[in-house]
Amino acid sequence: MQQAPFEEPLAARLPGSPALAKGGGGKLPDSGGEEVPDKVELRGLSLWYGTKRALHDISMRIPRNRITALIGPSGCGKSTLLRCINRMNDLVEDVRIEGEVLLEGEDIHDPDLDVNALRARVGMVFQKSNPFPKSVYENVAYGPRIHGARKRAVLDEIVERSLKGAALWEEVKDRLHESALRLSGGQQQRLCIARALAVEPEVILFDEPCSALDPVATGKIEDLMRELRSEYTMVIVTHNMQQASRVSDFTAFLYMGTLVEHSPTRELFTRPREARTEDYISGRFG
Amino acid sequence: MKAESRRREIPGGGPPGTSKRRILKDRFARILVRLGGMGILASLLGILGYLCLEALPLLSGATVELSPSRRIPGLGPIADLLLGPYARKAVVLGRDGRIRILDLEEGRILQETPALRGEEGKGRAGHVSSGPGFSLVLPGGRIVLRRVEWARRFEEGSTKVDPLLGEETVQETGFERVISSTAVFEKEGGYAVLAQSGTDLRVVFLQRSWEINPLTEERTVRESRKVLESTGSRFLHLALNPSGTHAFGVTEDGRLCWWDLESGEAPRFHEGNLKVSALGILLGGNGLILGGPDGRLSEWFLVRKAGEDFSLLHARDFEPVEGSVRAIRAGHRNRGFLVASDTGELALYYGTTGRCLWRGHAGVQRIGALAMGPKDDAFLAGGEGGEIVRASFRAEHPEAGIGAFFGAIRYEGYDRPSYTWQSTGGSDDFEIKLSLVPLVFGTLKGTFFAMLFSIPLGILGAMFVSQFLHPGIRDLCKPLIEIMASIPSVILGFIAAVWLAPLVESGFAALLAAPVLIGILILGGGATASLLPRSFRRRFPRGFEVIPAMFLVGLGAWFAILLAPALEGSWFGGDFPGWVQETLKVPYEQRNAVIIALAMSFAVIPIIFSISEDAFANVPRSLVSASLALGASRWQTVVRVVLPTASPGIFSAVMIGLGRAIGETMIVLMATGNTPIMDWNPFNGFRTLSANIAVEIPEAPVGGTLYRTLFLSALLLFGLTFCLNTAAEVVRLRLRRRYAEL
Ligand SMILES: Nc1ncnc2c1ncn2[C@@H]1O[C@H](COP(=O)(O)OP(=O)(O)OP(=O)(O)O)[C@@H](O)[C@H]1O
Ligand SMILES: [Mg+2]
Repeated sequence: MQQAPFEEPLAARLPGSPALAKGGGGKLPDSGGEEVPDKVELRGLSLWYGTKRALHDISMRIPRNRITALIGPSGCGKSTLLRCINRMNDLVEDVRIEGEVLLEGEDIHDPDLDVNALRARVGMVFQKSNPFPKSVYENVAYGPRIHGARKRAVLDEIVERSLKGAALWEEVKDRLHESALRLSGGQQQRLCIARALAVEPEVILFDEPCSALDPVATGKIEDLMRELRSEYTMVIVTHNMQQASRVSDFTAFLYMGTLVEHSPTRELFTRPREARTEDYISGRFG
Repeated sequence: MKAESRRREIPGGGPPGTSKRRILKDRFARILVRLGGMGILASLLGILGYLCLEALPLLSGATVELSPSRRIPGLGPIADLLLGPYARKAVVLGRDGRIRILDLEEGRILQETPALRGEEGKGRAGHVSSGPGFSLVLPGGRIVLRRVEWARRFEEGSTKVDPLLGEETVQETGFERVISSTAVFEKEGGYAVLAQSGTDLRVVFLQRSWEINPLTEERTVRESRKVLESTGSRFLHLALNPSGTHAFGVTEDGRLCWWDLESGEAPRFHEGNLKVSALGILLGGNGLILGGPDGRLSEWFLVRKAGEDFSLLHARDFEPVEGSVRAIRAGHRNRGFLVASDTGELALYYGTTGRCLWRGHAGVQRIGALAMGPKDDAFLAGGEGGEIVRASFRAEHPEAGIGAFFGAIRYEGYDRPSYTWQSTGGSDDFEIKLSLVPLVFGTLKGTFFAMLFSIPLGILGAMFVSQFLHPGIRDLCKPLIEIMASIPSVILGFIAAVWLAPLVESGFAALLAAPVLIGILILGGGATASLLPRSFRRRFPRGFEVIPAMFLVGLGAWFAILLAPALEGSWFGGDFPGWVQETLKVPYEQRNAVIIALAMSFAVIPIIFSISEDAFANVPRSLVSASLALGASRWQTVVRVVLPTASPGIFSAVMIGLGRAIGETMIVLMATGNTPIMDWNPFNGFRTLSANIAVEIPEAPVGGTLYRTLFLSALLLFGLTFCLNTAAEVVRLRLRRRYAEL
């Protein structure tokens, strides 16, 4: 399944890249050696659910047009961190956030920022596929409609492009007006990706997108992420170490709400700098 | 055997003992559940069956036991007949001018006497339009009138009935020769006579009544004589209505002529090619039954439209009889009547509904006279050859029928067919009107107005509480609204009738202004809030907006009350009911549909609210998250995702609310005025099926038509809610299948 375009830059990555976890600087050395500009930057991010602290002073940079994987044991705060990037945590009662999250250098917690516009820029795909109980077409057209697209021809074009983008077009083109709930689990998850693509976001957040899927469906989604890499910045939470190493360019290891290590993927998996990382990836806990 | 095979089904079941107990428990539970389910089903079917059983007899016609015709020795051609109670005895006026008392059981003459002593064998029977008695025309323009009454005595353990012949009264007509006549006997002892002269064909109307002073026992006689305008025609039949206001005649060539006796106007002939061979006047004196030589039967009313003269109105046609109609005799207790034709056919009809209750053959062709038993439970037909045909019949609910319940009927005194419910009236000869249509209409009207308020308030309230309100307040709100549902409806009805109705009457302007003012204030408040800097707004917790909003609602209501007198003055000229009557040209009742809408909302909103709130709350969070993550606002999410997904639940909420509104009794009973009118005017009252049952059941004799009609309306109510619930369930299941995979 491994594909050459990924294999190569990873194989040729620079050894001993500086600690990515400690922010600073606008550019991140890519595994290929070129400087990659940041898309998202977290600065000293802490989060409390009521009195319980879920994130501890996290600073990290997420490079543009790259896939960043978040790994870590269950309950370490991966989903929480992901949700900070599109402010989905706002929906949770009693949440308190400190620190900054910058999207293209803009603080997303700026009170004058429109959170709906932010979410249009930062899309999200959830662990459990959650298509609306509408037709395939309406699912994909939902986002564009929300943002004001009315013309049928425009919508048709967006739906086709997004479904093609999510590698689902061939499978559903004859059943666009059937209920999305009749698709298979893998198809539903790709439909959710297509739905996210239809809004033309800049960043897509994936929260364990394959945890409910079989290897074939998982493979399809991974292929898809690789194809989307040239256009989108992606962050993926995963429990599957192989998946992280297969798809991502960078990997961040979270442990009990703190960012332990953030490096190019190959480096993190072959030569982890922290003992906890090594314990985790070698399966000693988590 | 069974237990063993079942035990094997349990993989790795515990020790045999526990497994056996489990099986027992399992079986017991299953039986219990099944019993419960069956019990509910059975009791439901039982109720349905009982309602049907009570209502079904309404549709049956008459059962008639006709005894074969018999000749009674000594009985000659029959001119007129009267039948006594229990159909045991009859009094016959023969063509020979003699009155004979018959024992119908033994088939013999008990007693025989001339109608007027000393003048035997000279008379000719006149027609008696109504009342118990005979009239006989004697030579010299005299008419003998003899009243017949029935005396009961109790003897040897059974009731005996004897006819009492009243004193002989001779009425002079002033004519030399009378060729046709009719008489009406009043209950109080008076009579009226209509007679046509054989010499100049003039018609005279004579009336005589007695008044006895209770103190002095002095009898004053009042007499009147009115010679009617001549028509130049000879009348074969004459008839008078019991109140003596109208007279009718049938000419030799079968034309109908009538006089308005009070105005004394010229007689009028009915235009058109109606041919009449017999006529009768129904109980109450308003319905004129005409039978034709072709067997056709029709009912006519004399109707006076405002500012016009009386006119004869064709009310309805009945199933024709075979041959020419010879005689028509009206019932004593209701609008039923008996018809005989020259083929010997006998038929029973009911006027109001136009139903034919029974048809049969007398076995005698030349029937000269008909008589109805005083309780409308027997009739007698007398042949011209002296034959007697006796029949006992039971027509328990002649006034009922599909047409009576659901059709438009032209009732007496109505100039067009109408749907009317009027089950009791002031007098014995009242025409009962049993249309269920105004009641169904009332039910639908009440429900419609109640739902007009309840559906939007209930659903939007649930939407707001579940989707926008701060969870802390939400948890307080829901039980509070549900407490509303536990207010007994009698209290709601009482408050609505006694407090709300006068309040709305005097403060309708406030009621109209309040929603507008509150809406403006809330919108204004929202707009102001959105102008405030975000940094300021973020200081308040989410869902905080409800506190200023509540304040604005209060403020709006207060403004409305403050402004009400001014508004009332400028909009309605200071008098809202008067304004409704003058400007909208519709009546205003204090207890009207608006009051019901408000009061019933208190009963219905909690139901709709609570079920739709659950439906909203059950929409998976993941769908909401998906929508929000796509950049949709909360409102967009609610409208485009939450609302459609919750729609099956909201739909059932509305349907259950509707069921409640349809079946609601106390509120509508107390606060509508219970006028069974059909009018969409919201300022009118109405009467619902349920309230009608409550109002009328204490008055309805068990087993009577009204009683059974109430059961029928209960069945209708049951059917209405049943159909509604079934339709709702079907729609709900279909909707749910769409969202089933969630
Ligand atoms: N809505 C919430 N309210 C309170 N505590 C929460 C909430 N969501 C998450 N937490 C807590 O925050 C911590 C981090 O949760 P999070 O869901 O981010 O973990 P995770 O790394 O995604 O775990 P998993 O791999 O199991 O999904 C956990 O201890 C969790 O109990
Ligand atoms: Mg998670």
